[in-house]
Amino acid sequence: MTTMIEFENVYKIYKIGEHELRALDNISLKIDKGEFVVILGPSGAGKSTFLNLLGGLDTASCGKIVVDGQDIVNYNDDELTKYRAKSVGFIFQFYNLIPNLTAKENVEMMQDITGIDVDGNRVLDSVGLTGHGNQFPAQLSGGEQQRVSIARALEKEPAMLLCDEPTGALDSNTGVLILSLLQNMCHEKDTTVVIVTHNSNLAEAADKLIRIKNGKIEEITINENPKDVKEIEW
Amino acid sequence: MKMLFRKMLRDFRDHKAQFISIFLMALIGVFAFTGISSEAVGIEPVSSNYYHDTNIADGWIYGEDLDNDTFADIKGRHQIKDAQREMVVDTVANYSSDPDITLHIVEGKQKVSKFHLFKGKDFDENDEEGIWIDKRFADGRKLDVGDKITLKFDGKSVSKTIRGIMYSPEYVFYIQEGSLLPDFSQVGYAYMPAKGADFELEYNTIALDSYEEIDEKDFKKDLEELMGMSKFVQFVHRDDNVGVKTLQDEIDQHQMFSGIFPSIFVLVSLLTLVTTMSRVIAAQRTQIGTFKAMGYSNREILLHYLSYGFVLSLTGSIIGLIIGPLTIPHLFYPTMEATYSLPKWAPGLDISAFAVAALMVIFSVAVSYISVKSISDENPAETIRHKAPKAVSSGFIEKTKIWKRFSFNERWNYRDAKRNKIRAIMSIFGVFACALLIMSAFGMVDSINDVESWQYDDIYNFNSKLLLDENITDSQLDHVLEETDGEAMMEEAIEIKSKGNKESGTLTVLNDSEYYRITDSDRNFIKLNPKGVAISDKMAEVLGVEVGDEIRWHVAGNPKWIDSKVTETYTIPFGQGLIMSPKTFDKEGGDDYNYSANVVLTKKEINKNYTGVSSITTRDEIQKGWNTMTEALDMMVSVLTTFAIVLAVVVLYNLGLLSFTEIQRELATMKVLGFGSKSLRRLLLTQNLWYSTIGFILAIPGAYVLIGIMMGSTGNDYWFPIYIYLWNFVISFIITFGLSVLVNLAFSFKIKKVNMVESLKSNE
Repeated sequence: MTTMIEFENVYKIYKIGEHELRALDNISLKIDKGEFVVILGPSGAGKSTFLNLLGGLDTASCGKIVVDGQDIVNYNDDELTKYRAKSVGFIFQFYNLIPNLTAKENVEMMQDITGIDVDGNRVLDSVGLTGHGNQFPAQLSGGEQQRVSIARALEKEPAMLLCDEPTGALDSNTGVLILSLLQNMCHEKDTTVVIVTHNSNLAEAADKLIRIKNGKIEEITINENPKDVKEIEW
Repeated sequence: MKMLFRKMLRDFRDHKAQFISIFLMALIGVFAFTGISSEAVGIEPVSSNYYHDTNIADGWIYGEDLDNDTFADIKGRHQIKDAQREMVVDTVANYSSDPDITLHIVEGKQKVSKFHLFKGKDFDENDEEGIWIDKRFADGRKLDVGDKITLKFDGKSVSKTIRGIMYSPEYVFYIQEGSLLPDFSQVGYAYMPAKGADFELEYNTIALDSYEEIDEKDFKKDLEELMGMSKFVQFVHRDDNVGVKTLQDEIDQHQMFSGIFPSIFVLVSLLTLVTTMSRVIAAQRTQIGTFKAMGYSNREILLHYLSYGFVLSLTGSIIGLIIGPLTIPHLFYPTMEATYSLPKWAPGLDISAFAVAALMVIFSVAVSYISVKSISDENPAETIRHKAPKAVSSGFIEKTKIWKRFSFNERWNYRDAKRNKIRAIMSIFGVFACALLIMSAFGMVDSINDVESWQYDDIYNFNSKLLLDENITDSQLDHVLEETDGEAMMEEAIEIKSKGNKESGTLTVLNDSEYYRITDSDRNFIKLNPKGVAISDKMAEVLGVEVGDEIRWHVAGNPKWIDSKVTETYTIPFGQGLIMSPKTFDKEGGDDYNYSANVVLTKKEINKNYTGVSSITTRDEIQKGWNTMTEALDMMVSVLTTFAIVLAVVVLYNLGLLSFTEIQRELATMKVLGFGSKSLRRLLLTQNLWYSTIGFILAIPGAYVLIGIMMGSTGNDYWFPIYIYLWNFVISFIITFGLSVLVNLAFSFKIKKVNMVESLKSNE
């Protein structure tokens, strides 16, 4: 296994007046290529901040974040944009689809970024949304919308998929389907998947489980025999 | 960018109202501005081309018996390129009601002030039987090429065949004596060659074509030396030709109008456009964040959102630029044509129209840029979330006891206004501007009507005005006065100088009169001191003169200037100048001026002609002239009112929509909590009414200022009191608040439709 992501003494500090808030407090960890990583922690622990730093949505106060051999901490805006466009696929809790583009168009818009022609329907097929291509986000259920958002993220074949509470707004059955979809993608395409959640059940499915609390890493567990998402008791 | 383009089109479709209003704002602003200004802007080049093409004289010398030597001398002056000698006489044509025709008998070829020919052949110096007459008179009397016309003057008679129908650039504006408005079947002009005259010619006019602009003062001095005081009567510069000057004043006045009012439209449209655009973009905040997370570059995102403002404001502006000149000027041309004679009427665009259009586009793009930039400069991790609501601290009012007495409705609206200051200010400004425009438009009509009854009911207390022949005898005058039960007076055109200012005006010489009553600025009748020299308020203001100051004046045609001391003032809406009694006139004028009556006013309706009377006009005719003259203004007012109302609807609807969109979630929450649609509607109505009230109150003093500026632009001969009738306030109030409520009604349907579940989803 090759190391894909490496955090080395990463801090994210917010200054609120005279106070300092350490959203991330000296984080060091490694994630391998093709790993299915679950990050657990209570609200406000710093999970989302971790994901935002990794995804290049935000910059660290100090430390090193090496992705594929490149330290992204010192990237400027342009480099970050390129990094996001090429390497990162985001899945949000509230899907963040463009409301006035159809499902198919939401997926196909990635060709603006990658420059490669995309067959939206084919990608939608692969997430189980055959026949929904011409529907607008508002006409789709939450689970369907999240699948569109996964399709959109997968379309550019990123090195990693970053998911912020991807099932947070879904019922458990639909949530399982989404998570299992993500797990399959991870295993079949060797895509690194990092899921932030506060749902501890998911721990059993993870290759690597990272628990964060108060901005610090509490525990990192390697799961030798991760369960299939569908086998977990929810 | 295909998908982003699609997204833009769908955004247009999904947020129709907002985008339409951005489009409309650009359109209305540019439409109103170019439409109104293109009228005056178009006349300018049309008239200057007309003057250029016809080689209008650069000046005219009027004198007595301008003989060959004098003419040769004048032609020899270094600045004179060419000159044309004419005998100009007032004649009467042999048609019913004796129309006045000014006949120009032209020596040799026509070199300056050539015709604009409509029909027939051009001026021919050798055509002894030919005459050329003006088109307006020809139309008025149904004359055509080939017809015969007979003109009489000083016992002589000229009978010629019409060879051509034309306009002369010297006659852009002309009018029969004693009238405000030309009646083209009663007044006209004609040209014939000197060779056609079978009587001895006494040349009295030389039309000049100069190499350069003639310096009036130096040239006059030159002429006085050259010709001697007896022969030289007057030099008139081209710009002082009655037609040229009157038209230019009219253009200036229109430009003043089209400058101020449409600028307000432009301002309101710009501000609304800017607010809407920035709000539209602010509403797309999380989408911008998503784009960034997906890897779109700032440049691509900027470009996408800039194209919104660009596409909308550009198409709006272009359409405005095109339809403005095609429509509005044509509303004004009929009234202009009734007064002025130009070969054509065409709208024109100047740089300002394009500047306004460019301003619309630049502003909407710039505000899009700033809005997007401020969002995209944020950390994308922030941007993908909804913006946290602004924290509002409790202000002064919340701490007072009154606050507790406020209803929820009032508290909510107060807080909403406080949290959305820009939206509140914009709403107030929108109402302010619309109420201001409506009130000012009505106010101008009020002022004009007010002045009309002041001038024609109060001051003019006569029914007929008889203009007397210059050589009327005392016994003839006595007879006229006896028959008509009238009063004699003298009216002269004068020039007044004081403190370095010079103005032309009217001198009225009369004793205390029943038929011509004098008023003060409060419209009360006053009696002037028979030993004093009274100056009209407006004239005093223009010259900067106060009671006790010295002025110099002289009657047109008499070069002798008289010094007088101003002893009192009076107020007259139209026809500024001086008033004095015949005794004072004789005393002040010394040896050079003697009182001789040239007007008789009477209460009777006179329709029979007396010896010694040259023309009779009734007050109704004069008043009709006034009405036609103010028609252009009435038209302007209608156009402005229409625009103001359209603007008000769009602005209010738009701002209402903005606040509705922004508080939709709040409304949904309140609905969930159990508020009925009715009370929510009241919530929005309260807001609307608050803003409308503040805007309306602010507009009242604004309207006085604006009317003052507009009325001040009507020229130095007019004095308009700024007057707004009560009903005007009432109507403006009804329109403003009516629109406000109407817009609110439009939203009450939307409130009913607010979907509680949808609106509370985190989705956009």
